[in-house]
Amino acid sequence: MRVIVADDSAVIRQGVVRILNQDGMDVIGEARDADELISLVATLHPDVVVVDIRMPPHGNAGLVAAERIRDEYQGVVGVLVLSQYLEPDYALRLLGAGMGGVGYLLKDRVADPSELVDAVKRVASGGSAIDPSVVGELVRARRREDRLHRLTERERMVLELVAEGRSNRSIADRMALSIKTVEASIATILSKLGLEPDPDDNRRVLAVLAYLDPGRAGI
Amino acid sequence: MSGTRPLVRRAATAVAIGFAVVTLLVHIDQGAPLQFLILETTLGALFLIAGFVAWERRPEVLTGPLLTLSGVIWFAGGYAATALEPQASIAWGFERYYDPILAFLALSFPGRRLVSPAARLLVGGLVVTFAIRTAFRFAFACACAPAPLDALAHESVLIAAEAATSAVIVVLSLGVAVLCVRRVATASPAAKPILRPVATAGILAALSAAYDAAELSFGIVTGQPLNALPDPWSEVVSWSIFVAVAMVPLGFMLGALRLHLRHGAIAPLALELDKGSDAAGLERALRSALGDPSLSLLLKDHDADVWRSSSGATTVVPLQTPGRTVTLLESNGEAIAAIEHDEALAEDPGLVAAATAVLRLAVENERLAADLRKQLDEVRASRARLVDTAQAERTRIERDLHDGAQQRLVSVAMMLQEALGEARRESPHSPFVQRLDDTSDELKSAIDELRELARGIHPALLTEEGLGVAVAALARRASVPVEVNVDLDGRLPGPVETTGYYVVAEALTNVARHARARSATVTVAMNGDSLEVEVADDGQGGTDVGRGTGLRGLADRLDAISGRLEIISPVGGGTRLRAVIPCA
Repeated sequence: MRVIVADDSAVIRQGVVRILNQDGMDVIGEARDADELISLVATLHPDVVVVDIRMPPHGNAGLVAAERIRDEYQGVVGVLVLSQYLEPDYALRLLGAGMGGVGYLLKDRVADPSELVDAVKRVASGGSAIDPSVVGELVRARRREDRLHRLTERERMVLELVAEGRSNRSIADRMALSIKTVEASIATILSKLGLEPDPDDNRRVLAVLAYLDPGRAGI
Repeated sequence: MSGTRPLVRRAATAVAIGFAVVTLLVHIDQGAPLQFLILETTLGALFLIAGFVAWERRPEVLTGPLLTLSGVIWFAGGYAATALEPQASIAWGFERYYDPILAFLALSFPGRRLVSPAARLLVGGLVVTFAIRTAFRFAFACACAPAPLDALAHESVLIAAEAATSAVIVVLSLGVAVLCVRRVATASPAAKPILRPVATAGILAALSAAYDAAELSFGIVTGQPLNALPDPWSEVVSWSIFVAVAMVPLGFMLGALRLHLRHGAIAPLALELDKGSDAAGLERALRSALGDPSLSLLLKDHDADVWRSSSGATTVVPLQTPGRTVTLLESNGEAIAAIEHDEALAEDPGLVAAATAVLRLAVENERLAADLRKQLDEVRASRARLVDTAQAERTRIERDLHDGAQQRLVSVAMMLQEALGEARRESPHSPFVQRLDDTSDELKSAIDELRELARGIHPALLTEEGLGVAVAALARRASVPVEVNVDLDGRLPGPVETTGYYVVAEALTNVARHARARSATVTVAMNGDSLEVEVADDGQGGTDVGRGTGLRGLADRLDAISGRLEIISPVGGGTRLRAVIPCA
């Protein structure tokens, strides 16, 4: 798997490169700012880019570059954004119309190599990866409104994993359930929340996150 | 402006009245005819009354005491008609001494001195002539003198002296009358109404003096009475003279009262100033108070050596010219205003002083107010700068935390994780590995806390995504379900967005802490040139700005950028917090 890592901090960039290399990924390029990233992607044709949200030349240039790559290389280049911000808005913005191949991970996950590697792989294969903390924040907001109380504790945990962008297989592994049980559980959850079942995992992520985010309705 | 004290004034008047009463009793005792008694007493009393009124009204000038003295001299003159000696001789010696006194009053009014050389010459001449006449009368014909010269031997000398002094008195008195006429004729419009009654009195008094002296002189030279007209014309002339003399004290009294009325015009001036008039209004008020339509007011700029007319045009302080006077107003040794006015006003320094005192108050007040306004503006600007600086500082700290400390901690966590991986491979069950694990967890918590701290200081989401998104994020994290209605078209100026954000943040914090609300609504929308932010909850109400530093700080912040904060929070009726933030 060919990866480009973009971060203006050399220490973090090198750390990420090390983690990915240890997992056998091929880091073909490193970028220190958004412009360098864009040109590297154009010349090197990576499978996935890992981008710091905050990069030169300005504020969230990393996020802007990530969105551009997502749009220009849809289905070709996966985009994983590493962020300092626990802000669901950025994650939702990145998910766009729910085409997949994007991920939003808190930067501290670099201290958790398996999480990082897992997210990179999911994004590279066209899936979604949303940080559990971001999902957690949305779920907390929704629970306040009692809507999620209709779910059992296990269903709520499944919902969170769905929102993180995990596949049924991955959810089954994590919760030590059979894949059939997971599928049934997800069907129940979506029905309880009034959401249409969607065979496309990425659109399913978006639907769940959008449902979870109460603030967006009014914007 | 020093005047006689009320006690002295009234005591002097009482003594004069006492003297008049005694004189009246003496006349009755002497068997004087009733007509004489009435006429004598009426005229004398008029002088005493006029003296008293003038003295009360204008204690700073000599009009009052000199009119009273004239009354006393009038009553004293009555003794000349009695058979009493030496009273009759003394009275005859000092006969009509009120004539030079009235001449002085008529020509000095409304001031205290004789200004023109002609007036000094005439009044001085009268005093000297009267003194010479008195000297001759005492020397040759007084029963009071210890050794009177032989009257018979010197009768021709006495007669010559009487004729000569009388002739001089006629000339001088006519001179006084002419001068009085000229004073009124040449007076400025402001001075005319004041001068007219006094000048008339002066003319009448001078003519009466001239007639009396002429009659004496005529009688001596021709042996015939001057008024040799047949009845009833002789009576008419006598009564005319009586009425004319009676007019004299009334004229002086009227003059004093008119001056006093003008002083009373200061009160409307003070009222006008109290209304906070502009320079033109002040000028109008001064013109009407001082009775000088030609008056102009000049004001000096506060912090510059620039003079302005009442219309605001820059000008220079005019020099004194003939007929015009410039009165300067000073405050703390610095000229602050000037009144350029008719010279005649200077003759009544009391009036001008009163008007300028009132004007000074107004000008000083205006200057203080201007100082205060300036300071207030400076304080406002400085407070707005403080808010801006504080905000810039918060943004910088947030950036530094993300780019510096947080980044570094993430690096450390990453390196620690690598070390942990190595340690696990080397000796998986070592307590050291466990401790490294714990350290890693602590570090992750520290990173989480630092992220929360940075967001609390200043949310990057607000800077990057704007108020609508940031408010929605606030609502999401709120303790109760929040309905968000944001109606904004694009981004707003940074300080406006930041203030709006803190309004929502503080309001939602209060909802969580105090309101016991079940839900809240946040509305953010433009209204004209202002951003309006409203946060309403369905809680217990009873919130006020004074409670807690959060709302107080919010109100201060809004005040600093000329916005405003309204809190409607009836007990039991929820809380509605509304902020209006100007975008200009």
